[in-house]
Amino acid sequence: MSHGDAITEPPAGFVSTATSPDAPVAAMHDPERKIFGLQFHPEVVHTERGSEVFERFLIDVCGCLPGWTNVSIIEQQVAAVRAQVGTDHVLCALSGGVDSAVAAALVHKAIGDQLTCVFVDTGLMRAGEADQVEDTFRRQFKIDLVHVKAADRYFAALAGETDPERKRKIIGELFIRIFEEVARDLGSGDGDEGPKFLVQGTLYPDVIESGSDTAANIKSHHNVGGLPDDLAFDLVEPLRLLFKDEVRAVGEELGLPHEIVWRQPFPGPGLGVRIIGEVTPERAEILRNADAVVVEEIRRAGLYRELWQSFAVMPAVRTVGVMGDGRTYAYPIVIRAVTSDDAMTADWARLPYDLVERIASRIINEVEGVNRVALDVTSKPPGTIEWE
Amino acid sequence: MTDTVLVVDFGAQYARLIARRVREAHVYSEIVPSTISVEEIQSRRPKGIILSGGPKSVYETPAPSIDPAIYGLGIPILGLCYGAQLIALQLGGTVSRTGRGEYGRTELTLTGRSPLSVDWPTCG
Repeated sequence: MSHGDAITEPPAGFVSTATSPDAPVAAMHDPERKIFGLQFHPEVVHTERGSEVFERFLIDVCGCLPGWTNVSIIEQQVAAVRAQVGTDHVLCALSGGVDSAVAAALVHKAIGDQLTCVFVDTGLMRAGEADQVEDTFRRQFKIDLVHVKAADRYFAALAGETDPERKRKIIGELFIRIFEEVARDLGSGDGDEGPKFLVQGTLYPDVIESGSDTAANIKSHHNVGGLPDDLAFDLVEPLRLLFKDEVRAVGEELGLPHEIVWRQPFPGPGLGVRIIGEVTPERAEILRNADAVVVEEIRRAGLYRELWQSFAVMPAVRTVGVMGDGRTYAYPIVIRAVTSDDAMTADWARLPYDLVERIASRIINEVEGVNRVALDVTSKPPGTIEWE
Repeated sequence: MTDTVLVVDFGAQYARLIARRVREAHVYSEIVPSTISVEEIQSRRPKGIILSGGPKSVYETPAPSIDPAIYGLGIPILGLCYGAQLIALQLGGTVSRTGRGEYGRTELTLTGRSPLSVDWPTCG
């Protein structure tokens, strides 16, 4: 409440039940009509006993049954997916991130082997990501998984390109082309027209972001944004009612590994936008190894969940260093770690110096091709979280 | 069918936080715009309605509002900050410009009984 308005007299039929120095009527209600007004914010975490206020309103006053649980969410969505797709074939693109993983697990629970998942290994994934997707989905969940190893195609398409926007575009378009190929292959059998539905990990904040009419203005973006019109899929969006924290809770309930459920956000173009300059296989390998050290040490320090994102960036320039008796001429790595609630603004994380020291010395000792480590101390704004 | 509570959006951040708190209490919440019609509200059969806080003053023009017919639906309503002031204004109470924002910690003094609490929280 930053404006200086306050209720000074309650309407007829209302009783005033609390007062504060700045709000003469800090709480009021009409017992007949069950209308309540509070001049403070029980929704704010640091308001003491705020959740109790909500519970009393929801349970005691409104008579709600507390039936919105992970189990009931899963039951409802499983039923909804079954009702929507019937016996048709469904396709889902896995990105390695939590949203697509939970969406896939949920749809699989609903329709089993009617679901085919596609994972495109672009060569620009984080360390261990492709293996983990294989392990979780193919081996643990027994989901039909098409794993497209496309690193060579990505590196060929990106050769010589340094412009950030064009890099993003190349990566995005190639993804669509590969996805299209997989969808057409799946539909090439006798009498099989291929998948009719596409799973998208759209979340509730994406649905309400438009602010106005919730049903009409759904953003048509997301993991598989920009699929061409002739691939006319109907969308299955099993997470569209859920907040991120609910998606994670549902993911744990479904038995997804912690590493996937709690994974930090990762940009669609992957390491391609964390290599500043031309993307080459050698640079991607160096950055992936350096990034693995950053993530491992951040986890070991118990900071992984606290941080919004923590990763390595490679400006593709080389600097001079000295190691043993010789001079080196190798890449620098930048440590980027931020705290944020919603990615709209972010603060650079004040990592403990001994942790920064540990990360830096491990990267230089263990990752060939790196001779210098720097720390990014820019917040957003004016910086962005990612470098490109 | 799950019981639903509607959160009327007078400020996106506020509405979102409220919707999450409601769900933490294991009740399904949906965020709706303040331009929603009474018929649309009724068609969703909510067990309760929460009017969110917001960055505006009820005296700004235009100040976001809601169809006052919602007060006659027989559905329990909870207004928070902006939402509370809107209730007061629309039902004939008085909202004054005190010129002081409430920042930081403030103690509430209990002056009557309310079904929402035995013991009022302090506010932030």
